[in-house]
Amino acid sequence: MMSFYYSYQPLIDFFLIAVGLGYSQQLALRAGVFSIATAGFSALGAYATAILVTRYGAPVPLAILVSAVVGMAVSYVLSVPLARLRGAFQAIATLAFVQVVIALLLYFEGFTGGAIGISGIPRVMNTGWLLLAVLVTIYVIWSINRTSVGRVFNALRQDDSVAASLGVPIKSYYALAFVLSGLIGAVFGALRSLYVFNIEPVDFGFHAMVASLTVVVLGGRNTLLGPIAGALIMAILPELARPLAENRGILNGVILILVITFLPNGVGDELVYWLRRRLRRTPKTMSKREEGTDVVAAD
Amino acid sequence: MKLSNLFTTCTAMALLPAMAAQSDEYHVVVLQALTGPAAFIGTAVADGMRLAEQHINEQGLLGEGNTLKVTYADDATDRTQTMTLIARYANDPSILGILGPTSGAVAIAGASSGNQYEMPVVTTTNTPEVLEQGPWSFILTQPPEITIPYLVDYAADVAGAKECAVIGIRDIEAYVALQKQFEKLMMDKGVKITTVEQVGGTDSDFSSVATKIATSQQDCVFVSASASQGANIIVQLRQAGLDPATPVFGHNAFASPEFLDRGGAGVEGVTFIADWVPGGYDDFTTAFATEFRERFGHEADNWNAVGYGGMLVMANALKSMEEPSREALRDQLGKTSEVRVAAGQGSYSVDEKRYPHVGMNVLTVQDGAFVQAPR
Amino acid sequence: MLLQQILNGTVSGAIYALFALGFTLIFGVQKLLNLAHGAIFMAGAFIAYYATAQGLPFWFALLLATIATGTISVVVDFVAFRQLRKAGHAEFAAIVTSIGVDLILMNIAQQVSNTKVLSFPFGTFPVKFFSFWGMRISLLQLTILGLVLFLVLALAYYINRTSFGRQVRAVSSNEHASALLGVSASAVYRQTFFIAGALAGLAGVLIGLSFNSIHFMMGEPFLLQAFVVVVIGGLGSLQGAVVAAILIGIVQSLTIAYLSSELSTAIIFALLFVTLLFFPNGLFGRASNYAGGSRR
Repeated sequence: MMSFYYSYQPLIDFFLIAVGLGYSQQLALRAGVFSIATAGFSALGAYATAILVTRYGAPVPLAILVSAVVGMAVSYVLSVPLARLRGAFQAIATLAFVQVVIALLLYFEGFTGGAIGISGIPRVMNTGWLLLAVLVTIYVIWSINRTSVGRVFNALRQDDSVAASLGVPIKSYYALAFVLSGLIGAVFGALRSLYVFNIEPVDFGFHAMVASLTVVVLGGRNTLLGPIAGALIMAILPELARPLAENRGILNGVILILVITFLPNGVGDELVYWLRRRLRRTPKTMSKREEGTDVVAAD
Repeated sequence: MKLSNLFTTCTAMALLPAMAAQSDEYHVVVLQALTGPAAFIGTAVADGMRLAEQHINEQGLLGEGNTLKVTYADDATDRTQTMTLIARYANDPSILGILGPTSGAVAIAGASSGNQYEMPVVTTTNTPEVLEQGPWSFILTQPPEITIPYLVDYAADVAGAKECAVIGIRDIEAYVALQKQFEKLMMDKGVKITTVEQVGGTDSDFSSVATKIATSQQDCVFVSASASQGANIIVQLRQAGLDPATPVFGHNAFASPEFLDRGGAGVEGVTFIADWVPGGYDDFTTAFATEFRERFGHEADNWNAVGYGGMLVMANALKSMEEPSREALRDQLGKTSEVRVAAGQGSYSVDEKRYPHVGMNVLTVQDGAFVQAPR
Repeated sequence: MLLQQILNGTVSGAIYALFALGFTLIFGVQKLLNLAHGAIFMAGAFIAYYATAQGLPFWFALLLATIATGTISVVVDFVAFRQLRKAGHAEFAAIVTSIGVDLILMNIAQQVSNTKVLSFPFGTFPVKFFSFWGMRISLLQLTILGLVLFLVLALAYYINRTSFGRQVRAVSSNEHASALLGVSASAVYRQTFFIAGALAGLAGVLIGLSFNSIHFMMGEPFLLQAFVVVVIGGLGSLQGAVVAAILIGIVQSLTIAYLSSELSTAIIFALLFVTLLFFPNGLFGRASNYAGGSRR
């Protein structure tokens, strides 16, 4: 077991980071914001922490705190114009945001290291800390789901005009969901930079955007299990197909198509729905906790 | 860990009688980007290494009865996979060293992992940052501060450039480093850098940049890009009406048959520095070129030659160890001296800073073929 | 220099348009984010390359590539999207299946080409330059401009004036209602995917030819560009997409010429962002055809 852990430790750690970024992505989608800005938030968080720690010798907790504040501030500012847009237009606006962030990181070379990026970042993260960060994130989202805020998010996703007619201040809730997404994205970006020794702009490009989105769509957009399941599949896939060497792209592709075709709500969500259906049949076992995490049974 | 060591030892002891006395199997891993964005470099390096592996075992370069076992692995130019694979190989006591990862952030992350697990890693890249990660990481190609002076001396002193325009790929870190070094050394020589244009690593439409440079004044253009992209940029510069008398310079990536295939008549007269003289220039290098063509069905390029040499350097270090261990391999890699390779000027050494030295050639394209540039 | 740069931008824009037309057919009309469009485009260039390498004349290779990529696109729809559409899950799930298709096609192309960058042999298309008003334009650039103009007009006619076009529009606004009226949705999807794929393949051949470079990842930068084009143009608006593509080509060309090539990406995307603030449905989009209606 220990030997397994040592051999796969980086895989486990990257899995945890992917789960964190997945939650950032999921929060936005859950509230009906088709955002792919998570890569941009994680870039800002990663660079803020990396620059503070390597250039100014800032203590790590302070650097992470600054990253969190930067993530929240930027996502708040971004949420204002995004509330005016819909669906695909939100996706493209956030795509533009990420592209601008990357272009600026490349341009302000003196400050960001340009294409070469920033290296010599101390590795202070390990499996324990990352696990703690993921657990805290899950707890926070779980708590939100139990309050009325969680239900409003679900209402916004399903039909925001109904929500508006019921007197819900849509814009504030959009902003709240987006700021949370920015916060989590930036913090996990910061944690990642404290794990990988060096960062460069391409780490946060189109591939990073697509990766977070894939984790959530594959795992599920509504339940807490979603990003965990999605990140797990994305972590295991490359290792599973390794014997195929240069042909493993084909197997990865086939598996992605098959999984989502047969489980279109995402593996995690489908699993939760299935469990819930089983539990419903025997109402006695339905605890208060499932009530709390209950999300859109009608979906 | 302890248990698995014990297990390996037991297995080895059980197998001993079956094997000839004194014969060792040295196991190394080639971990390159065989897919993903750096695959253009990684696959070529791995092919060079495959040929070297064959030669080492056929010719018994590791000493009587000793064999080289090579495992080839792909990190898909992905840092997660590189770090996972290095962790896994570090946990396998039979593996002595790793040739890879390929380049960029992945190489630096791999170097960090190598130091963390005390596993020798020889990355393909040329950035000294890999060396700064600790004593277990090495670079296979010479850093820009060693290679670019060959080019700058030629451009400023032989070709007499006074004003130079620069076009570079913005997102491939190795090329950016070469470009910066070129700008710096040219300015040190009093040459003016008129403009610096940046393009993306997967772009193919350079018409705007080409028009901008073709309509400006300069007596030298430096292009920092891969062979095919560089040829493409130069062809589009010519099509935009760049004065045919303006000399165009490049770096070692151009030493590839691809450069001629892509560029055709458009790249005639382009001058660049090269690790590899295509086709070879003496018995050793022409033999490599011939055998490479026979095995892989196409001409060897710069990265094939680099990979071939990298495996020979590894074999030399393996052979020099008194007792096989990762520590001994690390020490021997740091002492590499005058190993015969196909790249550069043919003799590979590592200095006290662990910088590799193998020399550079200045080549130019004449009548559709690479020749040594006239002095 | 100014005129030449505007001309460069127009030609680049026309090529973006060629790529974006097929993309907007699928993304705009069917609300499917087809991330495999770049790979289909790449496949077009590959097929034409290997056909000419077999000694076939270029025009025939072009035709072959166009038909083949149209067929590939229909197969992709059948394998990756049809099932999702039936279950009503297409909007998000299609992102994952199209990435799957993208991985498969890129992997095959990388194996076939040995990771090498390929290019059509010299003289595949006659190299000829025309000079006027101090500008240079090649025969190939002129051909591309003409071809894009023709294709846009033909497509606009097809969508707006023929019964097939009416069916496409009917299916895109309400699949169930149009089924009641006897419109076969699956036939419409088949045709749309064929046309989109054929356009992508054609674009791939022309881009591979004019920029002298064919490789397994060539679709990526164009895919990113296509998002921008399709949105600025207004989802599903063919004419809008063409105008937006050419506009973006020119802006890009002028930023490189007069500002900074290093900042051109930042400027383009900042402009995009600002455009969306003032025109939330794109420059040419109508409020009615936004893609947000199907959110669940």
